[in-house]
Amino acid sequence: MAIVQGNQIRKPGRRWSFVTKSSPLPGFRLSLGFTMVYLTVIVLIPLVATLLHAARGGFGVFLHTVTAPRVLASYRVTLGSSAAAALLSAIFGMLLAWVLARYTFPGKRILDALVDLPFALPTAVAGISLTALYAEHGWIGRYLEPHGIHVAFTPLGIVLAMSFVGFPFVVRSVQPVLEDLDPAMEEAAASLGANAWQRTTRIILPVAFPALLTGSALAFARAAGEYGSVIFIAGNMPMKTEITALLIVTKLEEYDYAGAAAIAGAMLALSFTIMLVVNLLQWWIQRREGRRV
Amino acid sequence: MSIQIKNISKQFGSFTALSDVSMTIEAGELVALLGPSGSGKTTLLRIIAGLESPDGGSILLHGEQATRQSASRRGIGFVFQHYALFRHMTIFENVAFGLRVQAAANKPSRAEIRERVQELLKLVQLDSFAKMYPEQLSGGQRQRVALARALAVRPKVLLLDEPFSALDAKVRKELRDWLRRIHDELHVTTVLVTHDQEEALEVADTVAILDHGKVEQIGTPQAVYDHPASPFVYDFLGDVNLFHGRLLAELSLDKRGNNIAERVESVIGFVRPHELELSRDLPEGQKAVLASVVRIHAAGPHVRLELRITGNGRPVAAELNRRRYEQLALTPGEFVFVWPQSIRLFDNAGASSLLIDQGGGI
Amino acid sequence: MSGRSNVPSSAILQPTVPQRMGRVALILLALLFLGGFLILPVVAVFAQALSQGWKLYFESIRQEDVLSALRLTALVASIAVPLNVVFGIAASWAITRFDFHGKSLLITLIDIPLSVSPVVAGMMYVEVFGLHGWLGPWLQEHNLHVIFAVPGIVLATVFVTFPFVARELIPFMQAQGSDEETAAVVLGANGWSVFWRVTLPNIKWALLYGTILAASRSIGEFGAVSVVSGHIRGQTTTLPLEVEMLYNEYSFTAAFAAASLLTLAAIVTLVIKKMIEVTSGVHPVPEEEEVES
Repeated sequence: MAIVQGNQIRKPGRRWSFVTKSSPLPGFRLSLGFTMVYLTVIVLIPLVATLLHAARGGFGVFLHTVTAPRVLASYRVTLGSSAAAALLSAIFGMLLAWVLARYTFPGKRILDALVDLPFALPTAVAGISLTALYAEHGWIGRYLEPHGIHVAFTPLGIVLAMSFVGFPFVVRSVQPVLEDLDPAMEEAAASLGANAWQRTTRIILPVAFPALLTGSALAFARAAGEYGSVIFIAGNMPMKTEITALLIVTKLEEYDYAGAAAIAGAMLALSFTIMLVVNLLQWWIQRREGRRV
Repeated sequence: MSIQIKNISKQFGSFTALSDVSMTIEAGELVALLGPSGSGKTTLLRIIAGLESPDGGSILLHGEQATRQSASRRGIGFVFQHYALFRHMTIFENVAFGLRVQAAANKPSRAEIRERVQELLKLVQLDSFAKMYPEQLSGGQRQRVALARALAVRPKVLLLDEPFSALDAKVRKELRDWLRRIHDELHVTTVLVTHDQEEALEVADTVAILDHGKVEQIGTPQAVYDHPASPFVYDFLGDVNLFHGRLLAELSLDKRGNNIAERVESVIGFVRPHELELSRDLPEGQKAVLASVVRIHAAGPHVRLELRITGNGRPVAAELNRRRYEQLALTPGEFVFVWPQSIRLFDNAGASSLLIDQGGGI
Repeated sequence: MSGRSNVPSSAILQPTVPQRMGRVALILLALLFLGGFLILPVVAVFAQALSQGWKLYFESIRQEDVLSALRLTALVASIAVPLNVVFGIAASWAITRFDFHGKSLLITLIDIPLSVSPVVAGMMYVEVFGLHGWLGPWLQEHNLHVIFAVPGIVLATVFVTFPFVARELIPFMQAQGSDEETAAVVLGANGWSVFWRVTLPNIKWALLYGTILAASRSIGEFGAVSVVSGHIRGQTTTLPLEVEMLYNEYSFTAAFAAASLLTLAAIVTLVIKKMIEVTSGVHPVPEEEEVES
């Protein structure tokens, strides 16, 4: 029952309700219930269990474990390589997105489909294959070794493998933005006197840049957590070419569950931070330009 | 700057957008290119701008060949239907853009740019919006920014591609008046593309009506409305009643004195709703038809009546001003006599037209 | 991608001769990248697998270990994928057809597997179901094995792949709107009728697309499965794991032979994806992009 007071209609007794707008469609409780149960069992409980285990023994123990020299070295290797891989992914991803969005040429469809290859190919297969290619007598390695460029079993190899799995994120983030770019904007710029270079640098690239950032952040996140593609080509020498993910596996094999959990906790912290950054990025873009990217 | 359009043709695949179009636009004129979708008006505008290149013919801007010149060099300003503002730039930066991309030799100083931008934003009454982003503005405001941006570089020609069609009716009317006022102030040669005949007739000095890639008629708004050159133009520029009939020999001889009597052919008579006279009684000697009143739309400044001719059941639309309507005091179902104050006849070829001032064989 | 191209046709944007050359250069560069970085690894897999002839290739594939790994992979996928399809449908139904508090949180939860390292994912399940985990003692009592057994592998695979169907459906169903379903309800249809007769036919392509992505990932998952599986040959070894084991035993040809099966599956996935994109305009949602809530 509604009470009309002046210009306001107030419903007595309703302050906050879970559902913000009622809907005539059925199945709300069933679908939401199932979803929540599923997420709780599959995501929440395991996540909480890991975080609790990592925190067991107190913050001091946690800190001690995650700042041990070998662990710190693994951060250096992992994060450093991921950053380099994100940069490489940004460059090549941008190139591919540009070419796919703006030009037509024979073989374009195949190129477009192949960008998804790293998504579809199992990481272990990518790992052994890249190793075979870039090892000393591999198809590519044999041309690089004589020049002193060692890829396999070095940080360079790690960067390479990480770039392999990371660049599709950049392409798939930037490509739709370039495709959706209103040709009228470029025409407007031209009618105002801008030449091709000016149009590219002042109009197209600035519009694509946020998507480039987002894609690079995603590539970075994927690279930092990557396991299968990296461990074959990396060499896995502690303090030199050992990634953090491998360190967790090693600790598990040594039955050091507490140590593994602690490092996993640190990696989770990193994952959540990146998720937060990406969300903030998208919120900022949304606010500025009223569109999602 | 004057614009000369000479024998322009353009095809898109198998579709002919423009077919041998020629026109001259005088410096300082405001010309409307009017026509339905597909008539070629936007294509013509874009060719003038340099955003499309014609298959044949040439464009001269101020007497100089511009046909092969790129759009960035023609000194034109272009306003798009959906504004095409740079989303990632503020309003200020949008308007300043044209000034900032100029070659170093000609580029104004930062202070000059700032002054010019402020001047223009004031002109379009958006000076307090300088730091905002297009996303935060309404449609009408965005179009004003687009106008300011186009004017910033002092173009010699201003081209507008259906600039108001994406806006609400009220905003459309306001901006229409705006555009006219700015044109009167700045005297820039302006070409406006629109499919809204009311807009064209209200705003322009000259109206060019296009259909299927050809120019049907060019003239002042009054001229094209009162003296339409073809059935298409007549129909496009307002409501019309059609009467099919045969040309009566006596009529033609009376009015014209020409020997058209031999050409007894079927013609179509065009009468505007407000050119119909209604009366309960039939005046002496007046030829008229009897019609029944089907429906009356009395809201607004004019009253529209839907009538049906008793003889052949055909519908007729009549328009009366309020006073006349109240004099008659008609209600649905009543019978009334209808005759045209003036009627325009077109023969089958649509080309020739005759104007008869009083009544006519119906 | 759908292959939409933003190639403007207007005159000013027709390239000049130097611009045209620049374009060709970029396209060639992109194709070079494609060839060197993407195609070469795939070719290398087959080259290595066949390096000792077809006979040895087929023998390697027919080894009992490989076959049982293949069977296990298929089994895991056939459980994980349908589960995730059901989840995806339920989650997108709840999210796109109703308004309620906490929707953003829900979507964030769904995105978590995409930003978490697969090794950490596996760890999370060890924390819950492992010997020293939360349910460890209880499972031991009842002689139930999750970790180092098939159920663990299924769980880990489910975790890693459940976002794919949901993330494909959510934007799709959002864009479609609920008008048709509302109309059906008004006409008297009950929940299941609405779903089967109205919703399902409309979403079938997006659903298929998401399912293909999930299936492809289920088959190829390595890191998470590696942690939970125990690597017991013939019992808890999936095909990617078998590839690793063969490789570490220096049976390179056999490893690549097994890898070639996975690669074939990946190629088939890409082809099907492209076909769906071309026929229906459905396109992938870049991983971790924030879907509209």
